[in-house]
Amino acid sequence: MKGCWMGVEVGSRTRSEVPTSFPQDVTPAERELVERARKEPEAFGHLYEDHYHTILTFLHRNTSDVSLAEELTSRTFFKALRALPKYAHRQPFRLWLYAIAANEMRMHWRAENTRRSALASLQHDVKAGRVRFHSGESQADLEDRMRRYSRVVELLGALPEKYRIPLSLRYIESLRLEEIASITGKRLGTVKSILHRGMKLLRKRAARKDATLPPPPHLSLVEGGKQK
Amino acid sequence: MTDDDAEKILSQIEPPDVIEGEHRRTLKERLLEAHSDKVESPNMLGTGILMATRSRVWLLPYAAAVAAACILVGLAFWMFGRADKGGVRIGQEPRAVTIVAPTQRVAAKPADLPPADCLVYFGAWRKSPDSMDDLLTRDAAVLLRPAPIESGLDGRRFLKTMNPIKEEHNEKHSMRGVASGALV
Repeated sequence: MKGCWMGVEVGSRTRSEVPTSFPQDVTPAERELVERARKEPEAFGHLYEDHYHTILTFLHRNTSDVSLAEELTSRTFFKALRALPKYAHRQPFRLWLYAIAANEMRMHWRAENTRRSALASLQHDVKAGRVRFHSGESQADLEDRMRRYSRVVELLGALPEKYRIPLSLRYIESLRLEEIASITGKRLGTVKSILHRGMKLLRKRAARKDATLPPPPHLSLVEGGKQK
Repeated sequence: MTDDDAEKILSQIEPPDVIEGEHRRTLKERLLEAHSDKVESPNMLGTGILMATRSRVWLLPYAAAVAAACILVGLAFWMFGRADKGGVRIGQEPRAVTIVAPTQRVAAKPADLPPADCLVYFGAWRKSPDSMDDLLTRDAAVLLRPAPIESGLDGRRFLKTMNPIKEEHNEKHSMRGVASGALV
């Protein structure tokens, strides 16, 4: 909560403390393209082509539902188009899109209380040819991968909202901590703390009720460590 | 299981690839269309509201409306205030004898007077005399001539305007004679 007492700002943090600025990561080419995209539809088309797959994949990894991911991708790009005049090159365009997509996802989660089974969605999309696992192995192996993946997605999805997106950005999207801080608008230390606590909670939940989770190639959520 | 183990498990997850379908093309078309609409026909109203909100220009119409309302109310008070003091109402049809009273205590009700050229009154009607005689015995002058009523003039100013006429009558007649001649 922001406030002011005896001329001193209380409870607020200055803009510089939040690592939302990465002007050094914004390439001149991207800057020019964004500037053109404000006026030219073709330039916006280029931006779209560059980032469509990244955003769609990010949203799919958090929802396990291609149709939903496509819907949220549409909303993300339309919001980006509307907000383009306000984009100030403080962070790369990709991170800006991530932030919008994460917001869209949060809004969707808040509106939709019921959650579909990640495995069922995944199986449906695999069958429909909309999702593909990189495995040239047997059907059983594919099933195994699907179950393992969807289980992790469900574990992540069951976490409180404040842990879900940072963990996904860090461990599935493999983003840097500074980039996550920029997307979530939090300080670096806060992001580290959220990731640590989120991981602890995830580990606890996985260990508690995951006898059915198939072991990953090298580690098992149940057998790989101390079970509490 | 340690945090590191959990991290490894998460990082070893191999997410599936989403196979792009028709959505990619259709969304692009819709976006480009929306972009073209936006560029070709900018939302002037929206832009105007946004700019006004940012620059506080939007306060101006409200300020102008308040100022106009204040002026109107002030004007109304001024006019009605004048009327209460016995001024001639703007647009009123003059149809009575002009009575000019040097002292504002002398007055007459228009209804009590016969139709005449014009009427100018001032002072308080509540202090009207009991009769016309009473009125005419006082230091009052009743002018027979059509008095040029200027809209918006109050009694005092009218009196000043009519002074030459009054003096002309005073030379020939007594005040009383003039007054009774007018009223009868």
